[in-house]
Amino acid sequence: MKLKFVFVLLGSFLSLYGSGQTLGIDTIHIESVDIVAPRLQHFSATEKTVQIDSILIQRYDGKDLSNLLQKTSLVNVSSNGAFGGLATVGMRGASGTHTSVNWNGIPVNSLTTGSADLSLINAGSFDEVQVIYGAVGSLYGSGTLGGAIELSNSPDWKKKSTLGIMSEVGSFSNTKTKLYGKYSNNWISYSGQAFFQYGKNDFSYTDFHDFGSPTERLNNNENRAFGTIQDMHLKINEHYIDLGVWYQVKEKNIAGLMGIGDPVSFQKQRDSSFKAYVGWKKLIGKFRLEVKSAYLSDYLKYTDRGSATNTGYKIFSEIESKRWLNDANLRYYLTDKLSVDVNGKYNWLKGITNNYQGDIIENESRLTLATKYSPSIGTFIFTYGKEWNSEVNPPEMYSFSSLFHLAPHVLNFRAKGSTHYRRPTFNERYWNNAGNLDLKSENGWNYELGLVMLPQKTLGGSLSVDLNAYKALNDDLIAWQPESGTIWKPMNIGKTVIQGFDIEANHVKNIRKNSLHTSLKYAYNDSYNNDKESEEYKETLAYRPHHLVKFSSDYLCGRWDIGALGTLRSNTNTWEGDQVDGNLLIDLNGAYRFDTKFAKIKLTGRVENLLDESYEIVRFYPMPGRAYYFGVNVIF
Amino acid sequence: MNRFLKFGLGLLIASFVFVSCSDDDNDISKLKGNFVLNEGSTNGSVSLIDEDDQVTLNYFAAANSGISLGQYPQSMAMNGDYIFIVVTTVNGAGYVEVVTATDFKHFATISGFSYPREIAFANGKAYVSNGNGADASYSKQNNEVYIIDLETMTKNGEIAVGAGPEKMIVSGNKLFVVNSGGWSNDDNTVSVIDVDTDKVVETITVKSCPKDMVEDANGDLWVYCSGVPNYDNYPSVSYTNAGISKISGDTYAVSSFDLTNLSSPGIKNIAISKDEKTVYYMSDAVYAMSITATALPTAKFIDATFYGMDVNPQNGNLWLCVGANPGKVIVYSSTAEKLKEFTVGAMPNSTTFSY
Repeated sequence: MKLKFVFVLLGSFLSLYGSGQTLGIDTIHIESVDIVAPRLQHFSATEKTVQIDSILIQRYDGKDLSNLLQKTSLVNVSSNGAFGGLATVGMRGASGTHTSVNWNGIPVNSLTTGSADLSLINAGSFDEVQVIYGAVGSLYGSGTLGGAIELSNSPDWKKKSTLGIMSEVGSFSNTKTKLYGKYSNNWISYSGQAFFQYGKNDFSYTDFHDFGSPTERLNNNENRAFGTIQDMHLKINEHYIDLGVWYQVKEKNIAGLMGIGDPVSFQKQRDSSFKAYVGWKKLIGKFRLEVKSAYLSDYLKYTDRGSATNTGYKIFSEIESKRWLNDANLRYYLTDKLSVDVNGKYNWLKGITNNYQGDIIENESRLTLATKYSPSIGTFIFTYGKEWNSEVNPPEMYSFSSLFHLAPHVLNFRAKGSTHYRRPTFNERYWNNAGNLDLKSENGWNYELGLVMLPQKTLGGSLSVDLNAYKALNDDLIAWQPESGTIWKPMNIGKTVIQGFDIEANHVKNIRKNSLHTSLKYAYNDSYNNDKESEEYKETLAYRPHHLVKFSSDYLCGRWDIGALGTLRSNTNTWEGDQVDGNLLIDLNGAYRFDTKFAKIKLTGRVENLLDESYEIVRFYPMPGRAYYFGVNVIF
Repeated sequence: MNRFLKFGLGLLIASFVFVSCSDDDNDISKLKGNFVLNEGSTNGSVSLIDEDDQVTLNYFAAANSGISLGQYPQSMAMNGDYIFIVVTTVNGAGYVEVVTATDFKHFATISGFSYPREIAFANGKAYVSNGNGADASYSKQNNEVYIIDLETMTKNGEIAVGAGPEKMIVSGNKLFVVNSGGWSNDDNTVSVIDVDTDKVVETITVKSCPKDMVEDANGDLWVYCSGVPNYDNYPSVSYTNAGISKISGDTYAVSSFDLTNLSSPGIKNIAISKDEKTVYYMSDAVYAMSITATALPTAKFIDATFYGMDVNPQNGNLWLCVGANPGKVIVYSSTAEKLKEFTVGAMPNSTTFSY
């Protein structure tokens, strides 16, 4: 019945706008970027989407993605220690399982845990890193209560070639080397890179959870990673073909915790992943057809010897997952301002681990209908999505989002209402002696209002401001709870409310050939338990800071660029009602460029945590104090 | 005036002498109340419930400048001027945190354990059971009891016992240690250690996976054995050879009662009444059994299961821990009447009574 209602609504919508705007094929003008860009980018016009400045991506090229996002975006990174410790990112008060991370449109969140470990992703591996706040569930699928992160390498159809090597050394015996190359002409665009990273990461810290607050040094925190990412885009007779391969291995020791006594740990983890995709796009008359198929294989081995004398393992755990993801999308342009998308997905998912009762296979399919209308007054998008899973039955999804040009080229108004869901992960459903097959999908509504001031000449430069207020209701929240005795089990435990606002202001001032880029971002969030039956009713959820502030200023002056970057995070609660103190972190950056006969060379330097603050993000996991990095980037 | 002065002075001296010689001197300054030990979900804590039923959460941290107890405290015991809290940890670096009984402040940390579980005192020494009972492939691996020098608060010896030693009880000059099998679930013995020589003098076979133990008025020991779990039909879990084994304090002869209705496979599942003539145990509910009974009772004493169970030796009330976050302690009378309920820290497992 609901489906019928949606079709009727969609039909009415199309006839209303389509009838008045029908244009012949010859008069339809479709931007070529709209053909080449990933499918979801077509629908991002009404979303708050922030693309991270390429200068910042380059600066933190040697770090992982959690580091980059923590410093540059209004996201809440949950990090089990620096340099390789598990790091997930939540947006707008949601958790890591509510943030979808996508590589060229392919979801890379773990099949088994639901979240993406950003410590495994290099910050500098992608041309573009986009943060989509409050992404729509009917378009992005499961786990987008907070939003989505898009990592992509875009094609370039100009004739050019580049070969470069980047190397960085830093405190705590950190090194990173990346060899990269690009080649493009009017029919092929290739980019590839291979990287190696090593860090001993034996930093000292003040253990304020131990008697007398001694200075302790982390051990068993070494990690190393290597891998390659290859992207190729082809344009042959108006057929757009893209292929990508991403393979990497990361081995890391897991350090001990703060607390009484020295940090002791005998844990290790090895993560390896292989991801590959192939896609095809073609404009046929008024139809844009896109097909994409991806294969993802992830392997994780975790071991714990338990003690220094144990030659075997106290814990030996292997988890492997294989995914085959398929996506077909048909877009029909009724006019150059009105389009309809029909999207179908089929995914084959397999979990392999001795932590489940045998191998687990799930099949899922999804149908999405979406329409976008962009008259002169703004952009309006309606979507409907339904997923069918062989084991779980997620709810139907809807969204309506709009962007009004209140004052053209000056002020836009954004409004959105959408549903979201998160289906239970493999671990939540199948983990031995704990998994719960009766779990329902989390689900709820997101609402958002926004006001965007487009770049305006003021304060001696160009100023843009983006202000948003949002509220999200989430029902059937899944959380691990003690069931009987020592057995913990995931359960649907009730309701949460997430609300807040965020504001971002960017200013660019050009002084002759120099320029000053300044950015100030602030987010207020209130995420609380809204279950009247719960003892934590109205209490703030754990590890959700009320206040986040990000500040950056970069001065580009001839061959030099210097910058400062600051982040402020307010106190958070732990799951047990304790408090983790907030922190203020400041980084300084500098770079100098010069050319030789053979190459363009860039020297870089960076001081992280300039104030040498001792802090935690997750309680008991020490974070590093002041650290220094020096790098060189040579482009031949 | 002079006479009054002399009388007053004499009274002052007499009261001073009286106070100084009192055996209750330590008791006057010792903290009073009921200490609930919470394993926590990421960090353990102690909740103090005072004589006026006021609850202070995170009492250890409050008394120690915010220092947290650690992951995961398993047991707690008092001995003279000190309170000992055994913290198992998850990283093979367990310790015993020693606080003074007068103010709960840190006195010492005894380290060097891989998986400490319980502590007991005898002959001026402390004994800590240690070990998870399994090797890398979850096969049985025997463990040890460490001897602690209470003067220096350091380890000064170890005694080899069975796999996964848990609860210990001192009776006479013997230390009884249940060997649970730990993560291997592969042991069914109780080691008897002579505390004069610190040697194992007897190994007694009981039902499978013994975890908890009490001593009754006759000097006999009652051992709670949770049996070997079988997860093949999970979420339905069955237990093989579970039961209550009664060990004669004189002859070490064993008589056992099968438990066939186990639904609460916890660790702290047995307690003894104030007069030590009734044994309380948990299976699918809490049961009360006379120490002279020849069969397990069929009537449920309290129709619920809990994460831990203790009897207040002052009044005989049962303190039952509800393992949740936050946790609860529910107090029942010795006639199974519910008296009180307290919200405490996460995953409470036991209560230590100071009076």
